[in-house]
Amino acid sequence: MRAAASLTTTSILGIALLCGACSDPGTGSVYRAERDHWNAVRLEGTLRLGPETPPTEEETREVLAAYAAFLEEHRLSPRSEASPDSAGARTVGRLRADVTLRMARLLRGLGERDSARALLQRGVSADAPGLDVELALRLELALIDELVAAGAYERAAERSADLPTRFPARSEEGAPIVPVLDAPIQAADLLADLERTEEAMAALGNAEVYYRSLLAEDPDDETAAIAWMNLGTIAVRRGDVEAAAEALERARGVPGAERLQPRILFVLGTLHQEGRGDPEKAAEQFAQVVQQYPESELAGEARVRWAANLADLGRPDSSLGVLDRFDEQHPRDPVNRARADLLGARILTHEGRWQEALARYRKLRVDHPTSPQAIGAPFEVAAEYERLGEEEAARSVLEQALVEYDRIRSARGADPRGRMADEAAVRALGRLGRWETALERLLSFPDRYPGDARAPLVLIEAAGIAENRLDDPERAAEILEGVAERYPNSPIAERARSEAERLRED
Amino acid sequence: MTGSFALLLWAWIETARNMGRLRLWSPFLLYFLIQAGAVLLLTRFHEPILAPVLVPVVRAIAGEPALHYPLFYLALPSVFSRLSLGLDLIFGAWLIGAAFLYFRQADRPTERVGGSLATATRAWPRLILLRLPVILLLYGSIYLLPQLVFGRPEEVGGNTVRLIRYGSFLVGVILEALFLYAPIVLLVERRGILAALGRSLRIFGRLPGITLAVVLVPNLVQLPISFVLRHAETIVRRLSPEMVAWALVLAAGAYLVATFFIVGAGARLYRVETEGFEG
Repeated sequence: MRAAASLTTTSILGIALLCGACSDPGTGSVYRAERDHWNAVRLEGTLRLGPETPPTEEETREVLAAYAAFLEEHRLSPRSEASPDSAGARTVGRLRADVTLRMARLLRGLGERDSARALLQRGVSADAPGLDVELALRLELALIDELVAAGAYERAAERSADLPTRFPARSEEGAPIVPVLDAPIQAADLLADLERTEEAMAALGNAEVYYRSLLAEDPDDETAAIAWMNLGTIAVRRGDVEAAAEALERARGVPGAERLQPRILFVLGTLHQEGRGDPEKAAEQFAQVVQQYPESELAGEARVRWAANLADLGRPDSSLGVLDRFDEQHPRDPVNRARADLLGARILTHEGRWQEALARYRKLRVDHPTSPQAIGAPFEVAAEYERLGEEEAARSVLEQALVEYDRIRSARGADPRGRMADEAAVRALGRLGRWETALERLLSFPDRYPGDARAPLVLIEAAGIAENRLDDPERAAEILEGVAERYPNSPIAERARSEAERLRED
Repeated sequence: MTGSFALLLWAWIETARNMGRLRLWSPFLLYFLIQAGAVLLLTRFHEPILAPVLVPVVRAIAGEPALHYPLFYLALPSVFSRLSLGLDLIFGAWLIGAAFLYFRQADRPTERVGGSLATATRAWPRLILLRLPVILLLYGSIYLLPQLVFGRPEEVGGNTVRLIRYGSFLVGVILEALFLYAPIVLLVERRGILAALGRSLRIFGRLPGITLAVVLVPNLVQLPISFVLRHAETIVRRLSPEMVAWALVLAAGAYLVATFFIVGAGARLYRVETEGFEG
C-alpha cells in the first residue's frame, strides 16, 4: 500500500516536472499583467467622464495609483519570467505602453504636464524598442505633443525630424503611416515658431528629399499621394502657391489615392482660399468635397468653408442656403455645426438681419455651450449692440456671458474648454471695465493651470493691464519681476526683467 | 401510473424529510468542496506552482487564447465541464457510493451507524471502474457525437445548437437513469462490475418512468445555470470576469442539492425494489 502510494506520488511529480518543461514560463506573468491591466482600465472606466460631471481629483489619483502599481509590478526586466524577445514580453510591453499613454492623459487632465512628459520619456526609452510600430509611434507622438505643450519646441522638433529614420512610412500592409509622413513638416514648423528661419527652411529641404524618395519607391500608392500633398505644403511654406497647387493636382492623379480625394480637394480649396485669395475656385473645391464625398469626415468643415467663400463672393443667400442644409447633411458633426451656426450669424449680421442673427447666436449657445464659437460669440453680439448704440444691451450680454463662463470653468476644471472660458471671462471683464478683477484672474492662472507653457505670457498680459489700465507701474513691475523669477528659462524672462527695470526707472 | 407517481412522490418526500440530517449531506458537501476547490485551482492556473500542470491542461481544452485574461473566464465553463467529468469519475463515484450507503443506513435506524465511508473507500477502485462506462458514454454524447453528426460547433446554426444542447442533456439524463442503481448494487449486493451494471439496467427496466423522473427533475436546475454560463461574456462585461468562477461554484452548489435528491430517491426506490414497499 505504502509502496503504491510512493509510486503514485513519484509519478505525479515526474509528470508535473515534465509538464513544466512543456509549458511557457512567461504565460503566468503575461496573464497577471493582463489581469492587472484590465482591472486598472476598468477602474478608470468607472470615472465619471462626461463633460457635465468630470472626475474628481481624488478619483483620478486613485486610477493613477493603480496604473503606477501596474508599471511597477510588470516590468520588462531580466528577472521577469518572459524572455525579452518572447511573445509574452511583447504583450507585456504593449500593456505597459497602453498604461503609459493612459496615465499621461490623466496627468495632462490634472495639469501635471511635466509628470506626463517624464512618464512618456521613460516609456519611449524603456518600452518602445520592443513594441510593434503602431504603439511605439503612439508613445513617441504623445511625447512630442507634450514637448510642444510645454514649449520645448526644440526638443519636439528634433524628435519630429528623427521620426522617419526610426519608423517606416508604410505599414506592413502597405498603408501610409500618416504621423510619420507629417513629422518632417511638423519639425520645420516648430523651428519656424522658434523664429529659426534658416533651420526651418533646411528642415523643409530635408523633408522634400524624404518625400521624393518615397515617390521613387512607389509612385502609385496612397503614401505617394500623401507625399505629393506634403510637397504641396512645403511649397506653401516657401510661398510658392503655384508649385503647391501643381503638387496637389499630382496627388489627385495618383491611382491608389481614391480614399484621399476628399482631403486633397479640401487642401486645394484651402490653398485657393488662403494662398491665392480666389474664393471662386475655393468654393468650387469645397463644393466638390461636399457633393462627391458627403460621407467624408471633412464634408462638414468643407460645407462651412464653401459657405464662407460664397459669402466672400457677395452671395449671402447662397451661403445661407448651403449652411441651412448642415443639420440634415451632417447630423453627427457638432464641431462644424457650431462653426456653421456662427458663420450664419455673422452673415445675417452683415446683411442687417439682426434679429435672425441673434436667433442663431442663441442657438449656438444652447446647442454647443462649451464650443469655442459659443464662448467667443458674446463678444460679437456685444460689438454689434455697441455699433447699434445699445450700450446697455451690450453690457447685459457680457454680464450674462461672465456667468456662463464661470459655469463652464466650474464644470470643466483645468481642461482646454475650461481654460478657454476662463480667458474669455478675463476679456469680458476688460470690456466691462472691471480691470482689477481681470488682473486678479490673470494672476491666478499659473496656479490654476500648473505646467501650462503660456503662463509667462498670461502674466505679461496682467502686467500690461496693471500698467495701462490701472495706471499702476509699480505693480506691473512686481508682476514682471515675478515672471523672470518664476520662469527663468523662458524665452521672455529677459524681456520681462528689462521691462520691469524700465517701469521702475520711469 | 398513479401508483408509480405515488411511489415517486414518496421517494422525494422521504428524501426531503432527511434534509435536516447533516450526516447525509456530508458526501455531497465533500464533493462540492472538491469541485469548488477545482474551480479555485483553475482560476489560479497562472501561479508558478500550478502553471506547469494547469497551463497545458487549459491550453489543450480551450486553446492558447484561454491562457489570457479575461478570455480565460469565457473559456472556464467549458474547461471546468470537461475536468468535472474527471472529478466525477475519481471522486464522485466514491462519494456517491458512500451517499447511497448513508441513505440506506438512514432507513435502518436499528442498525449501527457508521462504516459507510470506509466501505465505499475500500470499494473505491471498483466504483471508479463502475462509473467509467457512464463517463465515457456521457463524454461521447456531449462532445463527440454532436461533432460526428452535425460537424464542428462553429459550423452549425442556432436551431442545431439548441437541438444538440437539449439533446445532450436528455441523453445524459437517460444514461444516469440507466445506471443509477449500479453503485448501491455493487456495495450492498457485493456484485461484480458488469453484474452491477446489468442489475441496474434490470431495475430501471422495472421502474423506467420513475427512475427517469428521479434523475430528470432535480437535474432541471442545470438548465438555467447553463443559460447563465453560456452568457459568460455578459457576466465578464457587466460584472467582472471572476464572477464566472462564482457562477460555477453556485452551479456546483445547485448540483449538490440535485444529487442529494437523486441519490436519496434512488436509494428509496432500490429499497422498494429489493425489499418491497412499506410506506
